[in-house]
Amino acid sequence: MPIQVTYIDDEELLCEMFKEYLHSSEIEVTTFTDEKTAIEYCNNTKPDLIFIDYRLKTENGINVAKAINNDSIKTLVTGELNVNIDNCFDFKIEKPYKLADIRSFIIGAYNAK
Amino acid sequence: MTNIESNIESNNIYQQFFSLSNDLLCVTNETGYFQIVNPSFSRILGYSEQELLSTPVLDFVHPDDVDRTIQQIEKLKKSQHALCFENRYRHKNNSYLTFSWHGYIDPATQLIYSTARDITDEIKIQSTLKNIQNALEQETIYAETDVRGIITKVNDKFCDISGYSKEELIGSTHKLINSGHHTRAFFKNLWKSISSGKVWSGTIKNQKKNGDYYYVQSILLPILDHNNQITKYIAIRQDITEQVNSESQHLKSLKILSETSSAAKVGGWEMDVATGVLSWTDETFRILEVEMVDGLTPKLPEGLQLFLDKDQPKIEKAVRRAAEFGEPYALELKAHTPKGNIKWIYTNGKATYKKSKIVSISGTIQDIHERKMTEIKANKEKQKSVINGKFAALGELSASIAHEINNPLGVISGYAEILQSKNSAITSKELSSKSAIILKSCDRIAHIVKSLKKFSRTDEESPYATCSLSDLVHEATILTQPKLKFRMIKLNYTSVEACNIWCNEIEIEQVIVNLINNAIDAISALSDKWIDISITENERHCQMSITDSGTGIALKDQSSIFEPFVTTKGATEGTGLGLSIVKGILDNHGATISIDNNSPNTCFVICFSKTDKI
Repeated sequence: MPIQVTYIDDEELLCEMFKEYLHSSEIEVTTFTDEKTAIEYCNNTKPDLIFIDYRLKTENGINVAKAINNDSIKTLVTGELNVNIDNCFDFKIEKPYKLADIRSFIIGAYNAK
Repeated sequence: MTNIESNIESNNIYQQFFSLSNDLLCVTNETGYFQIVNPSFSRILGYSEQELLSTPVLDFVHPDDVDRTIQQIEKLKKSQHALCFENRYRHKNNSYLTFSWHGYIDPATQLIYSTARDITDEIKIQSTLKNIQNALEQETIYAETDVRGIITKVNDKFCDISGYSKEELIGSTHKLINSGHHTRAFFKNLWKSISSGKVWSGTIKNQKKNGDYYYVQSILLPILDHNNQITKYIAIRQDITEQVNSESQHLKSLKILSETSSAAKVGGWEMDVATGVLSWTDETFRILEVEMVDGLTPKLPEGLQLFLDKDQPKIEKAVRRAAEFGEPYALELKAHTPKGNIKWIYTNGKATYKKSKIVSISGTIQDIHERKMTEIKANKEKQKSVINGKFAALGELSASIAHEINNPLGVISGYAEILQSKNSAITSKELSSKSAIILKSCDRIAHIVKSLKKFSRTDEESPYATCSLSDLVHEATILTQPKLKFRMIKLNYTSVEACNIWCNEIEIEQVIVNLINNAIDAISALSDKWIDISITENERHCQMSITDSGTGIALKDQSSIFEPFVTTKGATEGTGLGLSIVKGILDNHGATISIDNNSPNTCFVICFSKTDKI
């Protein structure tokens, strides 16, 4: 069964790129540019890993992470210089990232879990 | 010598005496004609002897004196006492001379033998003296004392000014009106002078009967008899109380003026346009550190030498235009004083006219060195503050702008990875599409960097140019957009077209960014978060309003909000430089910033003058 990954970012191009590169037989990627829909989806499907951008359309990533009540591995993805991850996040990845690194990270984190 | 010879000689002597006498000698007969006159008659009265002998004596007498002359002659005839009286005789030129007559009558012949002396000049002198005496007694404060100083005579003016009656003054000495102002030595010298026969003059302060003081300009003189012995003293005085008080007030005013000028470090000067001669007040000498030498007055070229070479043409030009066209001027210059000090000087000048012609230039000179140095230092500090503020704002912006750059950078990086991973399997359509995405992301970054680059310029002298206020707002919103987005704040912008202002575009953009940043900080914690920017215009002004959803600024804070280091933010949120920088920049642009207290929300209103410059 592929690893269930959700990517939430208001930047549509990043969502498309993320999915295009990572979506495979090993990793199943679902992306959202709208945080409300994403929260609802995550609470219902409990993906293995959730990547949340900090700056979203109406909320910031921390509030979105807090609104997702499951044990998914939550990773903050941010282009900000000074954003501290809250307890609600397990990891933080800074933009710009290498997609290859993200793939390794997904597999590593999933296996560790 | 025989008797005959002796008589002849005597007759000759009398004849000689008769002919050569300077006095008038004559014999008048009872018919009222001269029987004989000596040559002095003709010499003094101008008539020939024949005219004198052929004319009745009384015809020569002044009409007003005729009766008295007849009476005197009648009296002489009756009493045979010697004649002694004065009357006036008509000169041939119709003027009158006064004669003093002495004579006797020969009872046998009724001939009157008379001598007369021309006392016209003496009478004139006596008359003059009398007039002077009367004038002095009437018009001056007059007093006479005996040799011991006891007052023997005073006039009404003395009584009026002193307040003492004649009875109180006469018999007293001048100690009665002694004010106590003068020393004993003063009066000792005075007495020493007049008692030695000299005239003394000077000012004396006296005291009235009611205790008030009065000043008199006095002339005290001894009156001498024929033996040069002092018989009395006369005191002639003029009341100069008003003059002394006025002079005292004038001196006091001058002293105050001098002291205040010195305290204010303000000197005065005047230049005679015709000669170039300068007149300086004492303070001007002090300010320019020029030694005051009696009798020496500087001229314009020497005055110019006191200023730095670069400033001399400015003064020359200003003075020339003031002298030629009456243009007033005000200059701030650097003087190089004879003591070797360099100091900032303010000087102004204006023309003085006389009969529509410029005769002099006058003005003030002020030591503004301390003020100027403080001003220069403050300007440097202000410049530093502006730069610091710019960097502070830039730092704040860069944090949020990083997100805006990193996002497209992530897109570029990601799509490059995708292209790389697909390698030969990629179609040309796919390649074109992904390259376009990469290029678009590059443009996005380039635009942000360009805005930042312009914003972060540190040139102290940026050029002024005509700028569209709308464009400036647009540029500022690009820079603040990330922060607005980060804080979830909506920015609305309405503007009119072609509202141009003459400005340093970077500084005005900084003003707008600062105000937007302040608004963001102020409303971040509110549930209702918005910022409105609007631009309106009238014939002469462009008005920009930046309104946020806050509820305004407390009136007590409004007076200090534009001062440096005043902030309404928390201790860690702001440097307090923002609004002071905003105000400083706008002042330099001749624009105003105010708070619209009629708005229910926080509203800053900036008013620019429109420009027609291209």
